[in-house]
Amino acid sequence: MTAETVNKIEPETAQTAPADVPLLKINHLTKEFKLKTGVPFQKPLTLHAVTDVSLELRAGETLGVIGESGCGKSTLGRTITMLHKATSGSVEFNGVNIFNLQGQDLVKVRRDIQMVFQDPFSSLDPRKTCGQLIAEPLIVHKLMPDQREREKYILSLMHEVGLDIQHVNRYPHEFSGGQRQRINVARALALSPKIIVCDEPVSALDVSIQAQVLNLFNRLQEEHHISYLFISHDLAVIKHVSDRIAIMYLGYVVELCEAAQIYSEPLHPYTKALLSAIPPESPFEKKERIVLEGEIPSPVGDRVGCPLAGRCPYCQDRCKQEMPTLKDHGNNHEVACFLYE
Amino acid sequence: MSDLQKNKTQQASPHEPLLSVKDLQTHFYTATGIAKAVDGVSFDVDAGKTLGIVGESGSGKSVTANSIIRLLPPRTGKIVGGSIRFDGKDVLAMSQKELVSLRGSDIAMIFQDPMTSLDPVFKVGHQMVEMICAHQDISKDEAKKLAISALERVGISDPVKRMNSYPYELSGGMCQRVIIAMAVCSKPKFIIADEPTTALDVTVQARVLELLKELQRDTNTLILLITHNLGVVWEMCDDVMVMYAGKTVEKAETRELYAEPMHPYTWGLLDSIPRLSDESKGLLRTIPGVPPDLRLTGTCCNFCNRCIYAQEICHKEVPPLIEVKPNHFVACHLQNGERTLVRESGDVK
Repeated sequence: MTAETVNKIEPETAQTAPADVPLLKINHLTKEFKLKTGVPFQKPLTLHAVTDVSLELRAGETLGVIGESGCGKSTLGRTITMLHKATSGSVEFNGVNIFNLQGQDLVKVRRDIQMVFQDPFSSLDPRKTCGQLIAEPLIVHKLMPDQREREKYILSLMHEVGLDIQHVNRYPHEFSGGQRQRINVARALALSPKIIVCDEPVSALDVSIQAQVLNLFNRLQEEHHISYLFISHDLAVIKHVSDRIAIMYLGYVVELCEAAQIYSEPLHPYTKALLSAIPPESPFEKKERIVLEGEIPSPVGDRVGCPLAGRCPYCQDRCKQEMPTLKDHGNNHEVACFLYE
Repeated sequence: MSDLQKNKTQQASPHEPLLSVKDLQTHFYTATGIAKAVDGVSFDVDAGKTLGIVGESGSGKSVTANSIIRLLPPRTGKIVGGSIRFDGKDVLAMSQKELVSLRGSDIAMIFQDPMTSLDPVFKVGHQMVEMICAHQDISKDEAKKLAISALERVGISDPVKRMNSYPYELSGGMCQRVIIAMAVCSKPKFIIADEPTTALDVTVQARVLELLKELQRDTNTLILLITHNLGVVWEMCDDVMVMYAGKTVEKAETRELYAEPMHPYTWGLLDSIPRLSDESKGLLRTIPGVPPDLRLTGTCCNFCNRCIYAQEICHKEVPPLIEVKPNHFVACHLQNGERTLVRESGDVK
């Protein structure tokens, strides 16, 4: 089976944007969830999952998003892929706001933005075989109506992600976690997307398998020029795969920098605390721990000021009154903190 | 290095260790065959020390821990060989009654998922008091006071209020601290921590680990820490044992293992972790393939199919665990003191 004999799916949006225009532009994206209180006639409470996030994703780059559980990183990914409806803000793909699209245009954009989910055990239909699972997106989008051609393409995809093509008729439970995640990657890859949103794709895997899957992501990016929005809570993994990293806390992006800078010169007090909490890389390393007092505050209800104000050792009066915005601190290093203004 | 030497001279004195496991074999009888989940594991740990067991899922780390407190599924799981001695007593010879009094008083357990370790329908305080009363001969009021002081100790703010909370009202980190507080109440000699921080965020993980270390310092507790996160091992453990497919492949002092790992599997494990201090975007060195089927192990080196150094002998004989250097045990045909391997390094293609 060689790659030449297989017809690849041509990306729908053939015209490529100029180099300086980002592939994906997230403008002031906000997602709030309404929580019912259970009390009749009472106003529902608001859970602020993602607040005023503006990010850019360039062609062929990996943007890492990191934060603790509940910081809104998964919601951000799911809002971009339109699995959640955004409360406000816009997402521009090649200069077009995807939230305003309808009908065929929307279907085409969905093809270009695919997603790989965290749990390889629950994200695959247990009653479909590997081949059927990979064929599913092609059928949904009515591509490759010819069955022979489709089967050939599926085998080439399996080969591409490192699955044994003899396993095409196996069911998900017959695969290990790493192999299942490869099926998920093949499914996302089937539609030749421009962007893949990876929501903790390696968190459920063992380290040796994790390394294999990370290398797969790396290779696919080089070969297909895909952009990744890579969501994870593991800073070492994020730093390994990303070109740029956004650090999120309670729905806000608090710092945005080049991947190398996060380790060499973290600026935001939260980033520093996060870095200091990571276990050491060797038994000889002694870490200075920066402890943030208290628990992560609840994202429910009205908020004023910086989200970290209650736990930050450098908290000033101003932090409790207003929210700092992301400001460039030089070298494309943006930070949302009054300490650097 | 002087630290290392000092430790070695201390350990040389002959005495019985608090926990001694010899040639433990735990098998699972499944419909499709016998899975050798733990196949000949031995280790000794002294009071006040921490032994880390690392390995991938299915390597037998948790089964080893559960075997020590004899918490195996009653029909399928069985300890078929070896001995376990804790505090001078033979655990395998104990009756159910003796085991019940052992668990939760002398030996405390902290499991991976804090949310499922607590009963969701009872208040935290109720569960703690129940546990204390089961093991200590004190009144409920005294037990309550003890529980509140334990919660205070593990850093839970407003413990009196938290006693009346249900587990779902607490975050994962708080639940794990409640479990640790329950462990503290009975002043155990031995804590088994089975992936205690895997479900937690890094900042919470740091605090939980700090708490465990503090406990150990205060009461000279032995901790058996099971994890797949090597960073946690570097931070917590005195000694570390690497398990693969039910067998010990390498056992050494933590610093020794980091500085001079010897088994090819340990090399692979160390190499496949992305490091913060590395340059980003390179390819990681990986271990090819997947772990073997535990029903089919036991005739050769379990790692031979994934090992890039494997030779003919590796496919034929089981390598014995040999003390290659003082206190450094390795189970590899090609690293047995007579023969040595050169670790491959550099970029991956």
